[in-house]
Amino acid sequence: MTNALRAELRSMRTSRAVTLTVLATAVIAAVIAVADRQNKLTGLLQPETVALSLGVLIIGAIAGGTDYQHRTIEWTLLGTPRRGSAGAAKLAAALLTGVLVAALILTLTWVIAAAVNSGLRVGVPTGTLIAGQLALGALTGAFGLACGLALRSLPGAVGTVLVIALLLPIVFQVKKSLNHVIEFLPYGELSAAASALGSSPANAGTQLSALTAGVVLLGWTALIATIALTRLNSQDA
Amino acid sequence: MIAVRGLTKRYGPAAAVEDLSFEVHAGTIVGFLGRNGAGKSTTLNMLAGLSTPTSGTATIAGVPYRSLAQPMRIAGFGLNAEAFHPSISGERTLRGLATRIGVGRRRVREVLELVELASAGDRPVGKYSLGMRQRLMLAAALLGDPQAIVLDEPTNGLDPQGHRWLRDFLRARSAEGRAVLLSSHVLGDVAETVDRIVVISRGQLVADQPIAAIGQAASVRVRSPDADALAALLGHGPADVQRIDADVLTVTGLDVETIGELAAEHRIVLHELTPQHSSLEDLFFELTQSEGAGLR
Repeated sequence: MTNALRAELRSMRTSRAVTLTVLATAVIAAVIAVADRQNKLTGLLQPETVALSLGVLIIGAIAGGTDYQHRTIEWTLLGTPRRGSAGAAKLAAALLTGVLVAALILTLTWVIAAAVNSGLRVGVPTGTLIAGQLALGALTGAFGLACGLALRSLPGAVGTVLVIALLLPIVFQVKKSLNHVIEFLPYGELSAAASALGSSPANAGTQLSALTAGVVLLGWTALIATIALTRLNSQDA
Repeated sequence: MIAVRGLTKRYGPAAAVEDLSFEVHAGTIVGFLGRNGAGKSTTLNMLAGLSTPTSGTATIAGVPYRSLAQPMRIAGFGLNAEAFHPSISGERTLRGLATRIGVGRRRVREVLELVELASAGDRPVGKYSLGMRQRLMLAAALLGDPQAIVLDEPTNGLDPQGHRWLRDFLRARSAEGRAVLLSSHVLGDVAETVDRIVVISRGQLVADQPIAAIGQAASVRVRSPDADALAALLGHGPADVQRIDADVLTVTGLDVETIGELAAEHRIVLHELTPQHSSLEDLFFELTQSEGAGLR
């Protein structure tokens, strides 16, 4: 299991697509932090967190789908033939990568916000903010990876997370009567968590608390991961 | 070392492999033959744990591959030369696999040199020729220094030097005491490389025999001006005599020495006495003929 996890982390590190997605996410977060000069740090965190979660979702989807895109799943399962261990190592690697990317983005945003706004006033306890961001990174990474493993397709996985992250929110914004539903959908609660972590006053009272949103996201991640691991375990490679 | 017993794989009502049994012992090379779609790759995938049998077992060192504690140190599989990420170099690909199975970087360099790919190790796999990817596949299979090697069509894309190199390479591994199972369409290579052949047709075993038996004379062609008398003489014994022409017979079940001595003893003149050898190709087509008819 340890070797499998090390191999999955190595695979993430050597993937050009993952590296480019991390860089793109960092650049978008930095641009948001620099451009949004009027807001204090707390105001920056909502769009930055949305960028983070979208970036990590895509990284997870790439990690889950690449093995099937290039048939390298055969080598993965020849090296780690116990399917449960192979799947668990992939999920753990996605969780860890999500945490690392979240830490990178949070640090970057914080440093830029401190330099631009000359202050680090945060609307929620700092510990809650950091823990929330790291948890969000971990869960979105695992969610994206589970989509890739469940669909066994790189384009399918990336397409699915983009639909979940970009298209569904637009649909639900148009249909305002469904706003209370979106919070409980896979990406709706990301947005809710982002808002709650960012303490955006405009959204106060209209969205889930960070903890509730996190629990909902955990539930969705567990559901998709269960489907992915069941498929990995029961079907031929 | 490798044991397949009663192996069956069904997809709905259709059987891709049915009740297949054979063994590969340490220090031997077994050629695994069959037409396209005969069930060879399905069998190898089940042996590698990539596919689950409907019934039966496929074991390596007495254990299913999925249950081996350090699987790639026991068995090395080279099943698909296309199963590599094209933008990652050959060496990095092997390093990733080495990390997964817990072997060091030195072994990566060793296997790259062993398959004569060291000079191209830093190039992306997408820029490799098919022959180079075959060598990379072989390097990956050998990474754990396994006791059993299983290769599916490893000669595809190899140039003539590559074919010879692979033959010598596998013979050397076999001489070290490793078991080798080699699936290939190149019957000439198989005939020169393996100790036994296992032939399947429509997923079922149709032959499992030493390769040496194929080279032995299957029949004797006899030409005589007194063919009738010779046919009557030989027909009394265990031989099977067939009239090919007015003065030509084909005799099965007696060797040339016996036929010659019998003819001399009965003062029958012979104009020709030729052993007829069958080739692996003859045997292969004979054994898989019904499958071809079915396909047409």
